[in-house]
Amino acid sequence: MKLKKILSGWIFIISLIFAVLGFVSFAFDFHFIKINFWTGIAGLLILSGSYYFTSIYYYFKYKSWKFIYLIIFATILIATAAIFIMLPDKINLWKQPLGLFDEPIGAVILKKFVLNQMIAILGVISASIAFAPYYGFGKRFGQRSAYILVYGCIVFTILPLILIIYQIVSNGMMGVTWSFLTGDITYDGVGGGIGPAIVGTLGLIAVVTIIVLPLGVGTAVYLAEYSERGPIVRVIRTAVNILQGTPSIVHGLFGFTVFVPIFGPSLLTAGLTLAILTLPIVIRSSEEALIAVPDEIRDASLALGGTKWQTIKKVVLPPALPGIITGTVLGLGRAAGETAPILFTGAVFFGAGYPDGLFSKFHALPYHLWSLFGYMGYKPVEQNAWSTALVLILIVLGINVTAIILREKFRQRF
Amino acid sequence: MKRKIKEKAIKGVFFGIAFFSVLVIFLIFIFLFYKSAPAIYESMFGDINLLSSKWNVNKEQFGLWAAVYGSIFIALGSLLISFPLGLGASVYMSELAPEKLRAMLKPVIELLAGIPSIVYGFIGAVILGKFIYINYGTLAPNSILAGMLILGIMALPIIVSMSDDALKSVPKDMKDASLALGATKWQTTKKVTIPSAVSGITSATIMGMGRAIGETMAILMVVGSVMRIPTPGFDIFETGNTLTALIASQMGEAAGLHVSVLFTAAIMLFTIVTAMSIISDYLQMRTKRKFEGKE
Repeated sequence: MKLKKILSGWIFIISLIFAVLGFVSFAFDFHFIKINFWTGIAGLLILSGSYYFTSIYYYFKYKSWKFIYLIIFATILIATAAIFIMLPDKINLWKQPLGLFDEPIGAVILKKFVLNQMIAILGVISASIAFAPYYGFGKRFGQRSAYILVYGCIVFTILPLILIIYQIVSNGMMGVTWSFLTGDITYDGVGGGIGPAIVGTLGLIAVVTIIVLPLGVGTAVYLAEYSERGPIVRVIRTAVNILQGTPSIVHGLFGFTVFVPIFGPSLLTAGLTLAILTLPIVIRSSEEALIAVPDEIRDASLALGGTKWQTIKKVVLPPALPGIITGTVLGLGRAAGETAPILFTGAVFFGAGYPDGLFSKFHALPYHLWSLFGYMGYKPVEQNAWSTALVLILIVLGINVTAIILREKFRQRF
Repeated sequence: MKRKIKEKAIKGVFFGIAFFSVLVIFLIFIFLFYKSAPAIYESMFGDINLLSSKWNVNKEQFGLWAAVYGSIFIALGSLLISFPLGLGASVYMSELAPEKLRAMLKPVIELLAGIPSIVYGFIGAVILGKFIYINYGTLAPNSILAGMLILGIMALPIIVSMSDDALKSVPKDMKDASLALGATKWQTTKKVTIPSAVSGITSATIMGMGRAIGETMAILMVVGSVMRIPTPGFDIFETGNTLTALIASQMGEAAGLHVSVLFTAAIMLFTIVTAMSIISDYLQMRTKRKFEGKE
């Protein structure tokens, strides 16, 4: 028992070292030996050999086939290597240098991906094997290792958000000054500020709100209050769902072909395009808010002699209002950050100034960021681009946080 | 009597408003077809081949295959990242997380979904693309790999929140029955909860993939807009193009048949995404019926 403990402890430490080495060599592109074709194959063979060894060892030790997948994995590795060795040189990607790289592609893949990760995987797997005797091979071991994976998943889901926000805040903060926020766009965005872009985005939000609110709430009222189950409702619902899934660039093309010939590229055109993009979000959340109002209230109003419309206007809509507002605000957050629909419908990079009416061209933050990105590498716009991204993300996340706070505040009134 | 007419009129108005979204979908389809008709006509009776992989505007070669391939390849690649991570995260949120943490995580995931795609693209190009450029020796800071990674991150919130809803909707009785039989929590999750929610999870995955295929700006900034199928086909270190990026990058300076070809690309895109969202909706409805016994 004691020997087993010491043994597994040592295996654990060694495999941890392997895991760290693998990670380091992956992250910093750092190699311990000169990698060419044959050392690569040798590494592969050693790796698969060790997998065979561990699985057979554990079979005899514990009479458990728990690690049979290692054998399968190792066999696949060896088979792949064998195929690559046996292929004639001429068509062998493994040995032929390929356009982009000076070295044979096989060596590149080995170097860049396989070997480093292999070491890391080897480390992790042997660590888990080393731990296995403590928990036994039963269900508790399974649960433990599964939960470790699940924890890893949630961490890697949240991590990007933190990294993105950290990067944008740390890089963009220096540039955000009062003169940047209010200044005009000058010198192709190199100097000056983003005042017109902020105003343009806010104006766009206002236009979208005015258009989308009656349409979205009206549709939701029809779906939630008036509709009986039937083909028409199903058609409307399917249409809303398709509209929700439609790529934003298709919305942009739609605005380009339908609204631009009528209104020209302008704030109104872009607003209409974005309103259609936002519509399904508003419809869905408003419908949910309306359905959440209990039927008893409706019945009470109807029993008192109120008409259907009076009931909706005076009884159903007021309590559903917070939900409707939340949905609309969420939709506006989406609209404020979209670039593709305004590419061809009125957003410009220079010369528009502050918007002076519905039919003027305008600046918008996402489009401004896109244009600055286009200049990166040619002109010193990097700082301005980061700061624009920061302001954009502040506005969009600000809108979203407002919506979430509203929802939490008014949750569960019934 | 007057009142009745008024009520009817109001109902009519609401119906009209509700029908607006149907109208919009209809109009989108009609206008896409109307605008792409010349290209489709040319490809049927003329000498352009929309499905070839040769793209050269000056020679009037309009083969969209490279973009279609890129769209599907990149979306599938992003799925490799977003599906396992998303499923794991949703299992954590629905099964393991304490109520307080869950109440905090849900809004955070929503915020992740709210970050504009242009910001994802910016970060993807400036940081991730550069990292791959330096470490993996790609020809340019743009690569398909960077696109897959960024799209994977972008599709995550949708997959997490929808799968979380699906897992949460599995009745507690079913889980309790499994636990009472002596199964561990993980065994219950693996053998009871996930299989019961499988159509919801599939629907979430399709939805996430739909978003990945429809994504424009991030791809445009990260993948490089080069109309060429990578050789070999699975080479993720090369640049590529997608239908969305193709439209967004070339619409500005297109004229004549070129415009029409771009609209054909939009039709392909719209068809793929619409088919996906219909399948996803159907699966979601099925889950709902299964657990709520509706209809």
